[in-house]
Amino acid sequence: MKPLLEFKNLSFGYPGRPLFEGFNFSLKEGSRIGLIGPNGAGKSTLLRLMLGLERPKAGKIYFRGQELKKERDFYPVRREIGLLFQDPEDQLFCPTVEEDLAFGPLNLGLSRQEVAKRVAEVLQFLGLRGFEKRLTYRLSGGEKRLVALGSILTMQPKYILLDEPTGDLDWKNFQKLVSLLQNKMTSFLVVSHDFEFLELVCEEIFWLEKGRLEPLSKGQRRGIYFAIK
Amino acid sequence: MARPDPRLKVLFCFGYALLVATAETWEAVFWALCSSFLFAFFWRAWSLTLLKRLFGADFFLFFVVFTLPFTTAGNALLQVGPFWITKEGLLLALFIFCKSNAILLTTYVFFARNNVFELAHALHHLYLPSKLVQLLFFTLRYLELLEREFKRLFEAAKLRGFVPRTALRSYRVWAYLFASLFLRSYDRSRRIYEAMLLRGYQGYFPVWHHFSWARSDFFWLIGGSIYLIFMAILAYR
Amino acid sequence: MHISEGILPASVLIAGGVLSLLGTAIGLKRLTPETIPRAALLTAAAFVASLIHLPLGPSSVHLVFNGLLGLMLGMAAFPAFLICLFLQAVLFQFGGLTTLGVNTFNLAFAGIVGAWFGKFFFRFGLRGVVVGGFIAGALAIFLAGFLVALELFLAGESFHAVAKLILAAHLPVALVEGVVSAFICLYLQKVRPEIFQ
Ligand SMILES: Nc1ncnc2c1ncn2[C@@H]1O[C@H](COP(=O)(O)OP(=O)(O)OP(=O)(O)O)[C@@H](O)[C@H]1O
Ligand SMILES: [Mg+2]
Repeated sequence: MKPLLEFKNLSFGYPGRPLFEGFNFSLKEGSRIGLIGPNGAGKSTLLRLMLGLERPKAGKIYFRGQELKKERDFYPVRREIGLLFQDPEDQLFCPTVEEDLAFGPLNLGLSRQEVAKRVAEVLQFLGLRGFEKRLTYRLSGGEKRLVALGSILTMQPKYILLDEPTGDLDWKNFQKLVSLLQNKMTSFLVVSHDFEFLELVCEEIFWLEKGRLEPLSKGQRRGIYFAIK
Repeated sequence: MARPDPRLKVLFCFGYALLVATAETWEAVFWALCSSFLFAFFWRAWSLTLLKRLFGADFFLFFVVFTLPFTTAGNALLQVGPFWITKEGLLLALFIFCKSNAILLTTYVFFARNNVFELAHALHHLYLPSKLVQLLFFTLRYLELLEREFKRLFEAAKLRGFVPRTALRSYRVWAYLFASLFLRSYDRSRRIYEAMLLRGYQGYFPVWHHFSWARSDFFWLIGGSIYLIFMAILAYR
Repeated sequence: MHISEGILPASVLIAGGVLSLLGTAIGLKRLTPETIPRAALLTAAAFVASLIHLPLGPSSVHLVFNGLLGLMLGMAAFPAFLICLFLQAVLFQFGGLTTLGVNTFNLAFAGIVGAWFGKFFFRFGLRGVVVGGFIAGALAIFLAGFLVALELFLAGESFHAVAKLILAAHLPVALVEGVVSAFICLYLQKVRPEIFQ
């Protein structure tokens, strides 16, 4: 099967801070990937590169086999791949939960009934029924996180990128997220510093450091696990 | 009786304010003041906050009202030090004071206790330019957040021994606090824009809420119009 | 300082309204989808910051940030202040609805002129930024005070004394605003120069 997204020989860095050099990576539909690595390794940057929020200095990006060059080429990517930001406050820019969930699908040009249906479904899915009229800026940190996830789910993406989603979740919502990822979602990449969480929800786990991506084998995983404990 | 449609409230309030502010007769101002009191009773707006707003808010108004009796030419009434208070001056000051408070009271009754987003929606549906409404929307959405952010910055500074004073060093700290606030807002706006891009934004902001016109709104529309026409006749006789 | 309701004659209110309308139209035209969130967040920041009172001798002042917004937003300072003043009028009953046009014009126009002069110095390194920041901040306030005084002057003989007092009251505020703006510009120029476009 053709990968959904593919990086070939990609190079990128911020001024005075090179991050990736000749970097290769591919993302397949139906994969559950975990990404872990030290602070500042470029995990968030990698996600931004995937969606065209940063452009590589050199190398190529393919989406379903098509090369992506211009800003416009990324529109379909953004439609099919959703990104949950590290800070949900940046993602919830509408006053009420309902409006925020509706923003994406309305931009996709769906009819109002269709949008209402999606919003209701997603709220149900996340166990947030009754939150429609709540003000986004008055939600608790964990609730914001879930609503931000919802705002991506209403776009019905094929693949979801989550940047440290466990941040301010309490035990119950953490369980909820784990069970959503385990049972109801099949395609996602999640960045986290919580190794146990990654073990629970991912099939493959990669270690990102110094611009290199290393898959962790079962043995290495166990080693890290005990090192953390 | 259902509350009036927010669009009607906006239109009525602007019409009312325009008429009262430019009114030339005492009858109009008296009538406006009485009715603003009635509005406040009818919509149960009397509260401590309202009184504070009326008496404490308008520094500029007090400035003007307290100087006018001294600076207006006319029949002298009373001497205070080297200055004379005139009858014309007192009347003019009272006239302005009443006008101003009538409008203050009415805007308070109609807007201050409402959800401000409802107001923004109403402006959208009154065909204000989309970019302006988007600006208003975002400003409102992030107002409280930035307020909290500034409070945190300020508290962090205080915990490290900052005491506000009239001194260059102190103003420098204030400046850095404000600059951090601007910096954070700027950075946040970049991330917000990216979040919007990722959800398909291309300059058009879809609006989810639509107002529905209730039967009672016809009553409000007719009542409001009659009231404003009556006011206009009184004001410009 | 915002002029409140019921003081100015209709002619001045209308003139202010028309000028603000023009400025706002131009400002909105310059805004792109990308700069709308930026302008809004900077407006919100200015709104929040202008509610803060700094001590000044036995009294206190609050800053207006019209010079700074002029530097950061250019013509978009018009819609920015329109929104600020509208919110102040409906949320706190400061200023007023009928004086929205006049007050927007006073602050935004003065801010843009101040910023225009201040920006000139930005090319001379960080020291220039400090000077430019001071000029933008102080001039913007002084000019706004001058416009307020002028409008009161037009309102009639009785208001001439108030007009002079108001102008005098703006002088210390302009000084404080200039000093604080200078430091703000220094900070921002160091860490995020693109904020001044
Ligand atoms: N806009 C930027 N300009 C310059 N440098 C940046 C920018 N954004 C990130 N960096 C730098 O790039 C590096 C990678 O940042 P990134 O946010 O991708 O790290 P991360 O792996 O997500 O870290 P964390 O685990 O802390 O979230 C960091 O050293 C950071 O300082
Ligand atoms: Mg990160």
